Amino acid sequence: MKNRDEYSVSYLTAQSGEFYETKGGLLGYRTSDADYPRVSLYRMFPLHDLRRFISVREEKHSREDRRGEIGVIEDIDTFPAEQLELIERELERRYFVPEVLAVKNVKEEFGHTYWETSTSAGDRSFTVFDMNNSVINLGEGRVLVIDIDGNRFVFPDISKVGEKALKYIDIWL
Amino acid sequence: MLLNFKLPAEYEAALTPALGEEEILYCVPFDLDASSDFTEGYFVIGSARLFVLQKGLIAKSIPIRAISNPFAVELNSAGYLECEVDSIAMPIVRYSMEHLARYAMVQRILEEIIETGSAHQKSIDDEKKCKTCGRAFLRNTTICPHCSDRMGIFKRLWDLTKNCRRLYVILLGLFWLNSLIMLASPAIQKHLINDVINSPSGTIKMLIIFIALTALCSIASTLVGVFRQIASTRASNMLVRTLRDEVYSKIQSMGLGYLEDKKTGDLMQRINGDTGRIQRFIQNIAVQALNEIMLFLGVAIMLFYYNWRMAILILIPAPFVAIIINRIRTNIRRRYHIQWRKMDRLTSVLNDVLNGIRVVKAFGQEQYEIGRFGEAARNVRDVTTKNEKYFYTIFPFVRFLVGFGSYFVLLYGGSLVIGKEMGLGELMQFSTYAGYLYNRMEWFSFLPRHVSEAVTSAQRVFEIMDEQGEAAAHSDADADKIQGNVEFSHVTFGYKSYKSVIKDFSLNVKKGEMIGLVGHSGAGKSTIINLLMRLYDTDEGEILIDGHDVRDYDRSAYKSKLGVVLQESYLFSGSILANICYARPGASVNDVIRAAKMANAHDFIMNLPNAYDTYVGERGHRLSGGERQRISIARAILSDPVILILDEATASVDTETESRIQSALARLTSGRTTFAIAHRLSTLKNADRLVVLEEGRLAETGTHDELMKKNGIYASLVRAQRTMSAIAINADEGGGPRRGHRGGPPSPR
Repeated sequence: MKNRDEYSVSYLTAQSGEFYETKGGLLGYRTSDADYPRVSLYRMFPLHDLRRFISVREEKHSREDRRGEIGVIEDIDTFPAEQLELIERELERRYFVPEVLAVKNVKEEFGHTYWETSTSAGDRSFTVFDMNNSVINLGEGRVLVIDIDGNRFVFPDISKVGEKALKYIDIWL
Repeated sequence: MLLNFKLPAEYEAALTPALGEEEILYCVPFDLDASSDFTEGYFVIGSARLFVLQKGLIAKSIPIRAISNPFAVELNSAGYLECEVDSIAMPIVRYSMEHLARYAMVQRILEEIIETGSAHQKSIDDEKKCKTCGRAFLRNTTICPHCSDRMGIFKRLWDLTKNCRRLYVILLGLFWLNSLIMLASPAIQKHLINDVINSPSGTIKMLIIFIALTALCSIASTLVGVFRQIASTRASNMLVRTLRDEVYSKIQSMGLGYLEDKKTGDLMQRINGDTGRIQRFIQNIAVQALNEIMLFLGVAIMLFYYNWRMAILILIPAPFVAIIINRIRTNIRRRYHIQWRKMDRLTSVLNDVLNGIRVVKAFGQEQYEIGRFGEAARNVRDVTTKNEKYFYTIFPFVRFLVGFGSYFVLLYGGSLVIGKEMGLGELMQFSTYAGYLYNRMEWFSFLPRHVSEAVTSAQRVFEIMDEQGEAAAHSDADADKIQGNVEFSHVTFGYKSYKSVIKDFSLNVKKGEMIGLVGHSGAGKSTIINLLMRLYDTDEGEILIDGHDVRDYDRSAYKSKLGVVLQESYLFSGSILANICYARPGASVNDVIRAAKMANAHDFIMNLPNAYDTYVGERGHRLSGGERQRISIARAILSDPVILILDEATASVDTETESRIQSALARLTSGRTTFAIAHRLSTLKNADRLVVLEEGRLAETGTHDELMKKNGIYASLVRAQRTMSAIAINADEGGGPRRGHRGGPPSPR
């Protein structure tokens, strides 16, 4: 029988160490024992739990998939403000999913749906094909839409997008 | 894919003074700023500096000599280009998924510039959007449905009818004949009412004549309808057969790179789905559209001819009625789509449970599954009830609308009849024509959708037909004289232009030599084989067979000199005999049996009730992996190849079967140039040389002993396999891990 500890989750708290910004603007992490000059943050539940269970992984070789997990943050809101800012910024970079605040126009042509929107990251037009596989109901009114390039947009409350936009989307939910 | 965008004027104005003597080599857009907000900007690679232009200004300028290790980092739904600038890693530009592939190319360009001082990269990948209108191309194509020439599409469809034009002319004639009968029928009825039933001079004889004429019209219309259907089915089938044959032949002539890009489902959809849609359009819509237009015009002319006031009264509400009906239909379609989605979900729950019923029962989840199914079934019930209610409420209204014009006719016409200004027969005639008009309007409201679907399908089909097939041989090297000397000379290749899988690979193999290709997964072993099989052509460098570039040989003559045994042997639907003969149709029975015996297949084949006549393939006799493999070896033996390719030929069989296959392979490889890939290194024990690949490059080469002494990648692979087999043996025995236990490590030599 293997030692159970080998498989248990190592949780990182605000006391375990600290995140810092490298000279080049990337994210590092240091503890009293070790310094990780290059780390990435990965959500364990990127669709349903955006602020909890964040895996902190060391980027040993950026070209190869050889990432080691340093530990897991159970809840980022337990970190102090300046640490939280670094964590949130890194998560936003990796999981760039703008929230659609308003739909200015939507039309369907030749099997594609064209959306003109205002998002939390600024105005953006995007095109969706194959709504059947590109619209994901996240529950509680949240809907994820993936465009033809693979960009993701989230509607925080689908009932507020307006009647016209709703007509295009609700048949796929 | 564009790598050299033209800078907008304001950006050009900002960059030109800073650029000085430098020249712009590449220019690509980016669309995210450092705070992950959407922005507008361009990344410019000059001959000495990199420029980041944002919002019309130069945001960064970095000398190329200061940068190293460029890397296009792919995040979950965005990316950024990272470089080390004076040895400090930093993001240079950020971009959305739209530019991901473009920046992978930028990485390659920068690498080349850093290494050689210049870059010659060009992307062969396609854009996803139309440059002219910004609309998305049709899926997996570079066709813009908006900008493409629709009339051109119809002209091409018309060109395809050249073998059956007479049939189309007959068909059109039949449609028009039917229209004439339809127009004549109300006119006859008018005379029947005015001159016979409602006239003092009407006689029984006249009554019989007019009734006979009406009946004749009806019979003629039915007969014409039958002939018309036969003719249209025949004409559309002829056209679609031509179309399918041409598309299928074209697909067969395309390179594997193109075919893999398109995916099997998409190609099948084009051969069957799209051509079928074109067939339905031509059979049911196109010719009828011509007829409907003629009928519409004919009815309108007749109405105006007889009474223009009444004609206007009929025509004015018609467009509004057509629009309302169209809206209602769209709503109904939407509602039924939701119903279909709910049904789909129900079926998928059912499918899930029935396929995984053992798991459901094993974990005691029956109640949970009953609940899940119940919820899906309730959803279907609710939506269906709602839709049925809607449909049965709205449908009578639709029927009322279709007959709406006739009320105007009756109101106005009736007053004319009462005032003796019009006969009852004319009123009946007008009323019938009004019905015709409204039906035509309703039919026309569907036409744009049908045309759009057919044009899209035709575009997808024509796109394949317009593709260039595989290039013919460059010169006339004689494949029959191939001895089996193979040389890879500085070969570089990638399935995507921006991502090389094989990098500067060189290897000289003498005829009759057996080469074992070794390396981690993804090292490029199968790609080397694919290039040798000419499933793809190299991007750079060449493969020489007996001193001639492989592209100089006629493709099919060259392939007849190759024998291939793959991990998953694919047997076609047909007899074992037909499958063995696949590589050499027309081989004698004696040769087939001899090949089967050499492949250790003859005995198991003879144990099957139908022996060599046993039907195998998708719906045929189920053979084991080892049996299929031996048939595949027999097939390779029968083709008598000069160059033999074994790609994980024994990976999916047990040890005992493996030994039978190994002995069969030993007979097959004897005297032939052989390239073998095997996960189990022990399988390569007969190889003359082992070639170790690492990330697409040749890392090590030599015999087993030489490579073990070198203690490099190969030695570490062998050690890893020894550990694995020791663990496996101990697991079988229920003991702890011990090294070098019974059976020992794999011994590649």
